[in-house]
Amino acid sequence: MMNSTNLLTIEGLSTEFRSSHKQWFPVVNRIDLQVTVGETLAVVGESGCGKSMLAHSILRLLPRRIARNAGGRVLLEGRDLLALSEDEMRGVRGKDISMIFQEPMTSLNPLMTVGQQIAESILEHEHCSVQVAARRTLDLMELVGIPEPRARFHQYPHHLSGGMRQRIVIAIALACRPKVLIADEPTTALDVTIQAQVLELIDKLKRELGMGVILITHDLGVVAEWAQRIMVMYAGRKVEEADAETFFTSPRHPYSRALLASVPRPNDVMNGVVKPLAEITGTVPPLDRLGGGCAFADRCTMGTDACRSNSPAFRLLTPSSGVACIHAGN
Amino acid sequence: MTLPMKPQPLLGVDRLVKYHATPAGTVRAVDKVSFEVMPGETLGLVGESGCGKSTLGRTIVRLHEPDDGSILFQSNDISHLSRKALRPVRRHLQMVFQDPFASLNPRRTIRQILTEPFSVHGVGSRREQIDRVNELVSRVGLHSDHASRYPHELSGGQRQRIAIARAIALEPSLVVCDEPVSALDVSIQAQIINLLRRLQEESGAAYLFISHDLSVVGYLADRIAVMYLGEIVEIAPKRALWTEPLHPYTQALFSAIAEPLPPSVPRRKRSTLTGDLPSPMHPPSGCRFHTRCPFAMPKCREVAPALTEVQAGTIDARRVACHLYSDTPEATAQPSLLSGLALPAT
Repeated sequence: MMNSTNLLTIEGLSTEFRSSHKQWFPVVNRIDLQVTVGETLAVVGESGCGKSMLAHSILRLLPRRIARNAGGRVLLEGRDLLALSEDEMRGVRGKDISMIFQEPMTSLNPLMTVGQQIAESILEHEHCSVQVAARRTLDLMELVGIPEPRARFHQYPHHLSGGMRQRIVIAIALACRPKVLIADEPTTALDVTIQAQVLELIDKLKRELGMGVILITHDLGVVAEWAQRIMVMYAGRKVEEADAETFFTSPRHPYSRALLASVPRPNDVMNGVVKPLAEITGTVPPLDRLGGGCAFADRCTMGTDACRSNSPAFRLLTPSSGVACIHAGN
Repeated sequence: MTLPMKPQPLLGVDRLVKYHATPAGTVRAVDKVSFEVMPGETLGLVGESGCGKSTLGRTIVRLHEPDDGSILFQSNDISHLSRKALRPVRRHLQMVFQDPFASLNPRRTIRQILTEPFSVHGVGSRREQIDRVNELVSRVGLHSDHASRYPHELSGGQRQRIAIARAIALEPSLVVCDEPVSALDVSIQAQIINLLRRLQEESGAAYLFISHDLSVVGYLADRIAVMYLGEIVEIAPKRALWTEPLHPYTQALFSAIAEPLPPSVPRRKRSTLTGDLPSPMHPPSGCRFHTRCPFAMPKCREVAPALTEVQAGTIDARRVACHLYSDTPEATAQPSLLSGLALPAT
């Protein structure tokens, strides 16, 4: 899966959390991934699978009191971010790698106008005059589709709708033309018609600016429409990775299959087919109490004693797809 | 002309109005909404946040006082009944909320929570109540051990099972479900959706199923009503709405559904809406959708279209509130008019 246009290469990244009993346990477990220019990689899984922890680990945003790195490398165009000082890292965040969070209201400052907030992120990373920053802010607001940017510049976040706020967050994230954009459930808090607008915008900007995008979501429909490659996480591990076509035609991991079978299909509705949805029994196991075997074994229809005794290694099935399951691929 | 006996609707909502007074002005959450729910059917109610769908659901079960209009439940007007007079009605009219943690008393055990409906309505002896609670717990797929626990000791999915068990305890004829699976993970969503379907098959209860998730509503509902800024813009049998949505807002809403299919499978053409939802405090004049409608005509700015029946007599018969379909003197639009229109979503 190596490629000359790789922007971000992550090798064996592990992050541990400290439990209330002062024990360290993994929340991100030996993750490998690549993001190339112009590509959207979707990271998929249910709550508690570690997908947000992965994003926070890449940007080193986890509090040191309760979280620590437990190995691996995060290479941005060859430079290992884990080896940088905190000062150097601050120069990377928002400049080389930006992140958009789920709830736009909590990531904006309620006491600053939206224009000030966009300009601030330009001034933070680039040596330019306030006038230049203000002009670029207006350009950015136009780029992300905010009507009447001059009037909106002086408004506060609470004056704007949810969709407009998320556009401001995107404008801030794009202010310094980052190489990689991490979007953590960027549209979950938005309505469907606005969701489509925002995802279209991210996709358009990705192509225009030549970024790589990591799209973190639980919504498989969104993944199918906007991602080129998919990585499925379960209990902190990568359990499957494939290109979108392969993933949606022949998912290999039992968890991926179960996820896909558990969502109602619009097509079936139109054709009058209504059969019971596939259920995944049980819930995601607590990460501080994982045993040695496959974390999905107890919920898996194919679970055997072999699954419970050894954690399956991730192995490639084709040059561009792989799975961590001893039953898959046979 | 003699008509066959029409079955009596279970719920008849007629020009129902509910405004919320806020410091910033009056929110017209529900504005002259009319529809019916037949016994045993599932009516899906969809729309974006702020369209008034939750207020409508809560007004129907009388958690809000209606400002105008009427609610006919089992042929009785319940819109202005006193709390006391409502009590016997509530046995038959129940509600399930989005957040099962907020709707279950944290200081009571599951057994106490589930015994309450029986004791409030004086159903059964102490002994019988215990049996009924055990039966309920197993009907919603939980173990009898769960009955002695507190809500915080259960997972989100298990708590929603308890909220559903409480709602169906007295075998209501209508359950208003307000976003019952929105707070749950996909794998748990499937469990709850299957449970709701199974319980409906067993009990024959009707559901008013409120959700912003069109795939879930499409899966569960028999008919679907679409709300926009406090009004119903289209109400139709599920398949008719999915295969040929008529109202431009319905078209946009359905074309925005992201389907989990391989990228090589062709998708519906997306008709992306421009702009945002206008404020429900100052809804636009005429048709409330005209500010975002790709087909808006001068008339749409001035005259509010009525919800009228179109394609009458066909299996796709439905009601829609749009001037594109109500130009003819009779309320029923001609098929020729329909076929002449360029509908982007079909």
